[in-house]
Amino acid sequence: MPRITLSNRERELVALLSQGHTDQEAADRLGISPRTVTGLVRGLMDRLGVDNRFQLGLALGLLGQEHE
Amino acid sequence: MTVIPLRIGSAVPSLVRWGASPDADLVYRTLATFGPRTRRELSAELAMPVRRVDEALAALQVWGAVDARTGKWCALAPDVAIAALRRHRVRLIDQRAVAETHRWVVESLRARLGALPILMPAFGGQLTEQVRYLPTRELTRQRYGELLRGRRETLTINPEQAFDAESARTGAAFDRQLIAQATRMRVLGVPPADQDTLSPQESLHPAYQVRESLDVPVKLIVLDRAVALLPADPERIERGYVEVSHPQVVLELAELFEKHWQRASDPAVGAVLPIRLSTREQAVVDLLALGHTDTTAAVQLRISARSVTNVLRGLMDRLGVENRFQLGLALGAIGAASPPYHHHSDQDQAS
Repeated sequence: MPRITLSNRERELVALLSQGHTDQEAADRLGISPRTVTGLVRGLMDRLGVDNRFQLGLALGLLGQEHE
Repeated sequence: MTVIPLRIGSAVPSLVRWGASPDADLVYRTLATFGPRTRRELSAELAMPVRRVDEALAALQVWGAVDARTGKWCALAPDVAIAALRRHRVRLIDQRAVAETHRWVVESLRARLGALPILMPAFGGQLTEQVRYLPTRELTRQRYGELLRGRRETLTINPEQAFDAESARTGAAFDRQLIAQATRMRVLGVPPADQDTLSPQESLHPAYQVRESLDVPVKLIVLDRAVALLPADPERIERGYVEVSHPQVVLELAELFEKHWQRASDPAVGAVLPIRLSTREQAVVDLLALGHTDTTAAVQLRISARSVTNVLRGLMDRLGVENRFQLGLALGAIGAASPPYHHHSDQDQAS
């Protein structure tokens, strides 16, 4: 199981996305562009070695459990 | 940008209470109050980006709250829309099941610890040295008020999804007292039937710790692990409570609380509800976890891509989430599946 440390911005983004916000809404809230949001998500997916958002969710969900 | 002032019709109830997003609620409200509109008209009138209008309309359409047959979007009657939203919230607790586990818990305590009169006693008052029957809600409230004084810890299990105004008021008064005396409170409840996610009052005082589960065994209050209160009749709360101070009974009830507390989720953290997946759901989830798309998963399972989508839609409804990322997060958090790096070759054959 890879370990991953999220930056503050990534953490905020994941929190917003996990509440059901769209990329656009998350971008608005964080004051960044939607493209940056996509880039951050892409970066997380690469680091965790997954290909889509469902898998990204699974990975982060599992990690969240293990960190508790 | 000019925003046209809206006379929001008070007859239209808030869909947010039934799980709709604030955008969806606003769009629905506008259509219900001012009649059919196109998405562009809605966008202009509400000063809301078309993309958000589209999302709101898509959600409303899934729920059957709006209709676009005439070329413009129009709202269905509020009662129809609410009924549809209700059907989408499949988080109702079976109170009869709670009553059954209540009886089972009490019977097993009685079987092991002797004939304690802690289920449906006939008369009020002190039944034995360690059991007292409080035959009405009013007497229970009074006694509860006395019992609370100076307590350091309360453990509460609450299977009710909604409270009448009277219980909410007295509950709030007791809570103020508990907060004032710095009692540590843990409350295990079920997800509320009509949670308003926008309501700022929902955020709780830090003295509380709250967890949610769909599987709660009994209605129960344990004070300082010394006294426990249980309904006398789990199906008729007006019959009051039984107060037990038998040490072994209280200990076991506290342990029951802890066991369920462990399994419950913290609603502030992702609101993950424990669910059990069917064989088909698990198969779909496993394939998606491996990186399959809906289409390739469908081929593997020899079902239609539409069935795959429906299975996932059903799971998303049950977990109360809106997109695949959230679905993954929820399933990951309950350990229902894991992405490829967890899969070893010997597990890949598992269906």
